[in-house]
Amino acid sequence: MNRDQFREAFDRHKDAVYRFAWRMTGSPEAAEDVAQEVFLALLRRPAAFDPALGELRWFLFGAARNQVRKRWRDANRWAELDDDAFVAPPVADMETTEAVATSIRALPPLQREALVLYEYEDMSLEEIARTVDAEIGTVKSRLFRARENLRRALSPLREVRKHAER
Amino acid sequence: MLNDDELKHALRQWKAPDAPASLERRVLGREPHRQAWWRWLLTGSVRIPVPALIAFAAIAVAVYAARVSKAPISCAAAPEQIILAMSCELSDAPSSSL
Repeated sequence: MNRDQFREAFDRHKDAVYRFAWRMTGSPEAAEDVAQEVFLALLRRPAAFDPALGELRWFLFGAARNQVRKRWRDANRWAELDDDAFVAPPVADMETTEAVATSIRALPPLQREALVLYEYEDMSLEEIARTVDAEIGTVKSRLFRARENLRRALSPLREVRKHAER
Repeated sequence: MLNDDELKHALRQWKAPDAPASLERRVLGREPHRQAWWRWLLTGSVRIPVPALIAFAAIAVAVYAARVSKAPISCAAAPEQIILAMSCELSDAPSSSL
């Protein structure tokens, strides 16, 4: 990958990589750090990306996911990554945007990444499976559980809307 | 529980910002360029793992301590030590040799 190709890849994917990191970490600073690491890694070792194995987009999201996971691991040294425990945050008094953000950030990390990639980055189940290096069935299951958790967590919003309609 | 449409609608409310301009500076400002080796000697840095640093420091202290303990006693520096050392040698000597 030469300089022009790198520049093109950066311009094309920087927003998506940053958005993904932002949604996963909840921090603009952390998201910028993650995006920086992802692109600098590509710059230092362009051979790490093999076009025969998949699209650059998947590769970049995979690298971003690894960076996010590393940060999560540093911050939650004793927690299990695949822990399914979900405690619905209190969102009744929140605006919809804040309630959605709070609830998604409360999801277990593996459910959260599946949901973010599917709902916000418009990836197919197969693309997500390649990105997160998991079986399609596993991704489907994580996505299903993420949605169920969100349905439950955000249900007070429906009540709020009903109150507003009266 | 929210239904599919309500959930979809709620999720779409949450917008993420685009990458800030500072990201471009942070990434493209660090594009690699060839640097003369002698310049690296003046400006370069190396990262040392903490365990390696601790081991190196421990070895350095041990070598220093060993050298200090083997160093000859200087007459000018501590005459009372010489007197003590001589008296120890005399008292340790076997009586038949006196």
